[in-house]
Amino acid sequence: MSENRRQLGQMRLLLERAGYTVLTAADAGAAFALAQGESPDIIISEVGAQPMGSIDICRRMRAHAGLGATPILLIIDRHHQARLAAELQAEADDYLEAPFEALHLVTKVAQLIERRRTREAVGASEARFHQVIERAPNGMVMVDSEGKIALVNTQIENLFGYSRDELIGESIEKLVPARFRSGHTAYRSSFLSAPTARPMGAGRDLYGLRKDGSEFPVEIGLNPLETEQGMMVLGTIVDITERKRIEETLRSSQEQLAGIIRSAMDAIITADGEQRIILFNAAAERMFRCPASSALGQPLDRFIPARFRAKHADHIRAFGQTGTTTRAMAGSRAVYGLRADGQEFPIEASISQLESDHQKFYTVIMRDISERDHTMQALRASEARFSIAFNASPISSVIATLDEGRYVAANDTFLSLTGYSREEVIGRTSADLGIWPTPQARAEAVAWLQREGRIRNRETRYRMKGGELRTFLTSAEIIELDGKPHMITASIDITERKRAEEVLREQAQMLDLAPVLIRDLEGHLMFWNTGAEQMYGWAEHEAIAQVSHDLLRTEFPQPLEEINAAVFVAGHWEGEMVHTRRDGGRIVVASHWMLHKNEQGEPTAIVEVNNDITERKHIEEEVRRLNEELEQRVAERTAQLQAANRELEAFSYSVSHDLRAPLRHINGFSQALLEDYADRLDDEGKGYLQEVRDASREMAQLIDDLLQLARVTRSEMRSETVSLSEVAHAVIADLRKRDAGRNVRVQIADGLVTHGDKRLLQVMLSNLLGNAWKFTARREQAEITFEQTRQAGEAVYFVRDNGAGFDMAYVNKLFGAFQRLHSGKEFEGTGIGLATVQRIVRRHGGRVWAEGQVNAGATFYFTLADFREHKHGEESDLNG
Amino acid sequence: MEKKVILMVEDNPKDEALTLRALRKSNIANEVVVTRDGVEALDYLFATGSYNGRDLREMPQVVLLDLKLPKVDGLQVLEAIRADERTRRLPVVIFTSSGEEEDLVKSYNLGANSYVRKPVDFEQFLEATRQLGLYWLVLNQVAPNE
Repeated sequence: MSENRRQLGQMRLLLERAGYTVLTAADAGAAFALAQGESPDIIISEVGAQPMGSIDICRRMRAHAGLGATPILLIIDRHHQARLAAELQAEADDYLEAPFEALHLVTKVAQLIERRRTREAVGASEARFHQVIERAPNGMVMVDSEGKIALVNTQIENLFGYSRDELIGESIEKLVPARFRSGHTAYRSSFLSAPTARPMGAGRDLYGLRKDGSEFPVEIGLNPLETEQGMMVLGTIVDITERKRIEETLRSSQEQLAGIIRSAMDAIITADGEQRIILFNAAAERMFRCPASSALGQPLDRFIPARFRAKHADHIRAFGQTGTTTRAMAGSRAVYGLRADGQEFPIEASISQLESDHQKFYTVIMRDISERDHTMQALRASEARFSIAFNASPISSVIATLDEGRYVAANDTFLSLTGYSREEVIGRTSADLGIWPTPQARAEAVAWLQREGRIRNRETRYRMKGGELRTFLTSAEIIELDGKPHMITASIDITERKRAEEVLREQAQMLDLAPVLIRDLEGHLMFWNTGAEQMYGWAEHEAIAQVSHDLLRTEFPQPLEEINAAVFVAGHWEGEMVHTRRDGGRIVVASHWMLHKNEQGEPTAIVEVNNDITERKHIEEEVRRLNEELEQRVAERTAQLQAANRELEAFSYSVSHDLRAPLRHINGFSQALLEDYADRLDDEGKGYLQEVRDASREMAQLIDDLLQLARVTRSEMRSETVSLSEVAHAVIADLRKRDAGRNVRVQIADGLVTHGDKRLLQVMLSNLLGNAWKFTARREQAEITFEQTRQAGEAVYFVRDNGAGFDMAYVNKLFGAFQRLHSGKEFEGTGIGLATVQRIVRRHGGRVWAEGQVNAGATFYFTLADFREHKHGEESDLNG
Repeated sequence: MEKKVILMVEDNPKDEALTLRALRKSNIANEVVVTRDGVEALDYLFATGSYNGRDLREMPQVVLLDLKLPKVDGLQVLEAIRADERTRRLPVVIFTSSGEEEDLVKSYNLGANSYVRKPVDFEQFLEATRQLGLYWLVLNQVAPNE
């Protein structure tokens, strides 16, 4: 653009000659329009009379999107416009002072166009650079020589959690964990001193620091960049968290594998395709007694006995051609290994193959089974022992298949308990026999066994052959027999124990009915059971926290302080007290207090168990009252009896004393009459007087007998050893003396000894023997026997005579007082003797009976309980 | 030497008559002093009451003592005799109807020299009396009276 046409044409000519296409415009408006339409490579503008017009056009073009980058060359008048040069230069790309050399103009234009082209090329490159960085899969960051971040990509934003704005211009150390920062700064400067592209921190673990403070492992590559802004460093950052994890996993699994191989019980040997050993683990070293260092690289068959080697190599090759990866070696045949010391031993081996990088590897796993052979023998012996123990065990034991419960073994205890024979059991299932109460019971037990591996002391009920269900404590295990799981069961019969437990439980329940209350040391109720509620009427919530003695209005048998003292000293106290129930009823309770202590031994509470004994107390009171009444009545009766006895004694005394006196007088005076007046009485008169005397004598005898009978009944008995034989001899001697004219043969057994009241026994025997003596009076040859016999194990004494006898029809009258079977004319007697005998025998706890026949004698039998002192004692007690 | 007296303590006149008859028939010539109850017997022995002034040096050869007596009974009389220094060596024969064991035991416990039950039959009564007289009046040596 030029206002000067001549100059315009001149420049056009120059430039066209230089090969440029030149468009011209005469003013700024035309020039702008032309530039917009043509997008020229350069705009040359002459600064005319109105320099501001040139500046204006520069600015307008700069502001225009399409023309902003177009270089502008100003032509300035050297003389007039030099002072504007600086200002104009700021707006334009360059200027030329006119007048100028033609060459100068062309050169300047070429420079400017070239510069623009260069600049555009650089811009495109930078854009590409930015795009590349932005699209990179890794985080990329550019840092200037001062360590300030100049550029980051989206990955960096994602990796570190910062936005671009938060990072640009910040120190790169913002992304470095604090502990590495100082090192990083030093590293940065050393890198800049010898900038080459390289990975950062070779051999060291690098970490990035996120905005949230967390760290993550990174790998960083560094590239120095020479830029217009100076040396820059482009860092590539990769998050290697996942890689680290995978590496870690891999490493640990490799370690595990190595560990397994190393520590395996089995020998593991790996050989390559040429069957050369490349792995030889510790177990292999032990098994073959050969260190790995000597084994590695050696042919595999070195460890096989020579005679198997050829075949073995073939086998391995053949295996290598199959698709099988693993198989047991030699099937069921024994395989042998060869130790380094030449010893052969049986092994069990499996082989597997693996192809890697077209290389075959064989891995053989071996186990030394020479020990197992021994073990098998030991096992057989142990099985024999088990069998004996199983059968002889006092614990009921069976073995049955796990699936259907089919019995394969049952011991003697099982059989005797259940009542089955072995034939009934073996081969049949528990369901066949109905051993389990229900099929579910077995299913549950089996499920438990499978889940837990074993059953220990599980309470189980089994049905016996007779149908009875008994309770057992069962333990069971799963054992393998012939490859099938079986259940071995041992059971202890606890039926009786269960019954005992049942009783205990019932008792415990009864105990629960006992009212129990617990109160703290201040008397506040802390516990109040159902029993207490039922007995007293207050519900638990009403009673708790109340003061026990206030609530129950306790009436203590002794001051509470004394009771408390006793409880604190002895730990417990028992006594009776009166409580008032909720309904106002007063009850007597038997109360048992126990002091409760905590773990430190400090008293914390008092447990009180109370039993209502009101009813019992009433009954006791009633019994006591009745007893008192009874005692009083007994005392009264005793007194009456004693009075009666005294009266009887007085009466007896009177009888013996007073009744005899008149008889004596009758007798005496009759005698006096006979003596003094004999001459005045005829024989008949004398006869009558004699009758009077006889009568008085008889009456005296009667009185004596009656007295004796009375005495026999009421007299106190004394026990001593009495020889009945001696007593009988004495009685007979007395009779012989009194009646010397009689010829009586008496036979008395020796050694008849008993315990009893000697005086009474004398009376008895003198009555019996006296009778015998009396009733044999008419016999020429009288015979009296006193002996002992045994009837039904009991000693029976008898007195037998051959006298007058009696008619058995009247035998029941024999022992009554005043009963006589003979007239006084025939035999004198009072009829009291046998009554006396009976009383004496009875008082000795015996019996008396008689056998007789008229004119053929009589036998009187009696027994005596071995009467001892205690009878006397009993009588004393009664009287006391 | 003058024969000593027999002291008979007997409340029943019939017994008294029969005993005296028996003694006579047994040819016993000693004087028999009869007292009819315990009090009179003791009065005689200790020279009191109606026997006031009796010479206490004269003591009976034997006392025939019935048990059942009015006022003071025979056992009490016996007790009193044995309790007094002057009479405690005096032979006392219990002569009674009672055959009661209790009487017998008590009598001997109190120091009776003999216990004879009066038989109902007079012949036996006579025999008993005769033997009593023979023994106590003839054979028995009395302790010297100091």
